[in-house]
Amino acid sequence: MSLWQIAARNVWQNRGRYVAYLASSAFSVMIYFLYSALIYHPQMQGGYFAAGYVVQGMKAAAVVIAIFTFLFLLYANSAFVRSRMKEFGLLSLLGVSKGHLTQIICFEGLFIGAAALVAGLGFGLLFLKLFFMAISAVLQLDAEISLYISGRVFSQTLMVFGGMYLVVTLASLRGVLKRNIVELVRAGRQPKAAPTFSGWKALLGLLLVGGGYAWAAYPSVMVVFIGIIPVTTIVCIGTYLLMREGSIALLTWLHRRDRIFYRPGPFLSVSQLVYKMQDNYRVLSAVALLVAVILTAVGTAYTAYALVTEDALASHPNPIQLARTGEGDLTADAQRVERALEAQGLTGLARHDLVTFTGLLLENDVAPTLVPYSFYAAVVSKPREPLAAGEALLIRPNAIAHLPESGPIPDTLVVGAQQQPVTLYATAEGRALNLAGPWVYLLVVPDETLAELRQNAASDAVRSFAVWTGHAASGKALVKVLDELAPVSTTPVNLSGTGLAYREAISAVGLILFIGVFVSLVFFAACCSLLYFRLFTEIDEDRRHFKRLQQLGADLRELKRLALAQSMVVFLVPFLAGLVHSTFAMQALGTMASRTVLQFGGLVACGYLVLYAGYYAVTYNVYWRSIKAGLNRVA
Amino acid sequence: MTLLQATGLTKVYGSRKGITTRALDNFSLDVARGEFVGIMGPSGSGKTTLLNLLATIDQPTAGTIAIDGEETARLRGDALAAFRRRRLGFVFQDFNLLDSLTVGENIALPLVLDRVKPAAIKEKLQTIAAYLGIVPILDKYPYEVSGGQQQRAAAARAVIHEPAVLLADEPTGNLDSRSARDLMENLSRLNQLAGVTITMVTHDAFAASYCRRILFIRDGQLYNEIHRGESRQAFYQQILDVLSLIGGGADEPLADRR
Repeated sequence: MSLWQIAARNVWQNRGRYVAYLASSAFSVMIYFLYSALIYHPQMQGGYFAAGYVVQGMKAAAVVIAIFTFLFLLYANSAFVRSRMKEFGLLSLLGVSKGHLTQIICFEGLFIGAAALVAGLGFGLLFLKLFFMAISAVLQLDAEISLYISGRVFSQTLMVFGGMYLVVTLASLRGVLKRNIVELVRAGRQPKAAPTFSGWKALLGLLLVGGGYAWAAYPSVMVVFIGIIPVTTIVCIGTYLLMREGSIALLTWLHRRDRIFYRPGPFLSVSQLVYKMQDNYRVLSAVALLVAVILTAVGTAYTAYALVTEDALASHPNPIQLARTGEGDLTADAQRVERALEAQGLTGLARHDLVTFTGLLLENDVAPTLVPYSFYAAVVSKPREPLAAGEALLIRPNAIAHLPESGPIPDTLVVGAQQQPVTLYATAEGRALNLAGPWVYLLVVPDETLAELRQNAASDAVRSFAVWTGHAASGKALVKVLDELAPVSTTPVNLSGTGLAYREAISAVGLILFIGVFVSLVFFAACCSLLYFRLFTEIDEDRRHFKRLQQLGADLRELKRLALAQSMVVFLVPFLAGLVHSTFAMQALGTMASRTVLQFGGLVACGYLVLYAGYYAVTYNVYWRSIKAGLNRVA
Repeated sequence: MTLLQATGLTKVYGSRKGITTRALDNFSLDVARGEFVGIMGPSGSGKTTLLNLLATIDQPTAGTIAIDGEETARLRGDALAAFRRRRLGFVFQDFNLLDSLTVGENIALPLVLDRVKPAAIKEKLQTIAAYLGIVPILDKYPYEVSGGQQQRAAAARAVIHEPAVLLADEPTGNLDSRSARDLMENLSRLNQLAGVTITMVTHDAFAASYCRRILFIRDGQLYNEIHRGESRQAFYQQILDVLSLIGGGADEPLADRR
């Protein structure tokens, strides 16, 4: 039998173990491939995303993916090699020389690397079209991104991942060669020393994580902003310490409580968890941090997406708005809009005309555009109570930072040479005009006030508006009308509309969301395979354990409960820890955005939980089935 | 009074090519309460198959087994597991202690599985450990103690729940001669003083000499049966004689069995 055959047979014999390793590396290759296909797409370079920073951001994300994949492969491979030390030890025992062993390991590495690359590129090609379609849909591009891959994408993917597999293979080679035969043969059965509890480490971990949480809950934008990087580092270290000391403390406590411990379920599961603690807490803290990163990254991207689109809608309430700065007539342009609407068969929109002017609020130091109450009441869906003489409603722009309602505030309104005291009520709700020009602030005043002040307004302070309100039968047709009319939008006439603003917002942040989700998918895959390895590295040992229990009379239900409890802890603990981390991180984000954004984080966490639970169900079933295969059939 | 009654046990293993192997052929066995019965025979004679059937982890092709009046073939699933847990005790060649439990917890396991109160468990544990001289190692883990101590712990685990019968499969197979003597003396004491019924499969003539009665199997059938008289030495010689007749003497290499 040649070495090639031995290597091939090795891979085939261990196919069960290879599956997770292979699947996750192939997945990383695929993601990287799709990603670089997008980055090096000619349409990306010049067309849709003219802003260079988007492409730069995507390149940075590709580097993150590559680095992360590398670290993951190193870890996965070491876990994998450890589970096969005994086999390599036996081969050496039977007289296979170190040179031959080296060759076998290298051939195996080559096999796996080649298989992962082929599978990854294959699936990448398969999903490329779908990927481009998804991007075009999410970004609401007019034309789909064409199916094109430059040779550079292939060569780069091959080079990056080929290099990685080389390094990883060398690392595993070193791991095997530096041990002597006895160590190899015994590697799987070395007794695990029970870790001891360290009070000061637990305290330190508690302080670090608690400090991080306190920072996140601190209601100051500056403090939160400055702390992002140091606090993240601190929390990472704290998580590791706390996961270790916390699991030791809890398990030791359970172990000592006779009433709890001396029952079949806890007796078996707690002792098993104590036994595996050494290996568990490392993986658990790594997975907890991964979960936290995923939830926070996607949560942040989703929050940005939601807030920006929400703001776009709130600040552009009017489906169509024509505006003109300075003296002049809008009638001709308004008629063109009417004709275009008619041509598309769009009815149900009501037109409101307004000729007004700007003023100045001395105390607040803003120059609002004045809006008569009658216009405001006609355009806005939920207008406020009519204003009394001398009262005014200041409508602030609905920016990311949300200001609370306030008032009454005394102020002085200046129009031309005339000054008039007003009592202000400020709000961000109920914009009567789209935020599409210099009319950032609006001031709603009683109709009589407007009429009195009109004569004082300078000619360059005059603004004319024609707005269409109501719901069009077809949003798409409306956007089409706006696109057709776009040439109208030349200074001094400005054309804006809800649909246009929404589309712009989406193409600005949609890509961020997309990149966030994509990078998180890689993290998710890594997280899943970490858990898979944790559960399956010691599958032989676990099988023996379960079989012994069965012989001693533990029934199938108890065994199943044990398997469930064990795998559940491995999955659930890091998820909960990650969830708490990301909740605090989202709280900090909320401080920066001066809004509550926890609901977005919650939504993302729910979505993640569905994926995670699905993965758990599959993994648990595979685990239980392979345990069950080792049991006696009569049970 | 008969405690364990096996009648007409037959076990046929089929292979993929349609060739069948008859591991046990119409074998019958009666064990009275308080007996210490040994089962011997050359490799492949059906000893382990017999023990697996008695242990209810395998099912006979034909024949019945009744332990303490209970027909094991009628039990299924959880009832069978409960039966195994309450009525049977096991000692295996490779000790089969769980690495994740201390020696004491390993011994207590059958009682925990049966939901006995912690206080009662601890009391019984102390009694049995004192009886077998393993009190000092109760808080150690299996990999921290010697093979002989592990096997004594396994014996303690096998009897702590007062089973109807203790089934031992090559209990001295992995022990040196001193530990083997130690274990056999302990089993013998359990049998004589505590009245534990023991059925033991073994290759080892020395270990077998502690039994009161020995059944020899060959090719799945009963070959011979001998009873012990006054002297264990004479009985040992008698066993060696039968073994040399049956083929497969005292010096037959031990097969690795699990």
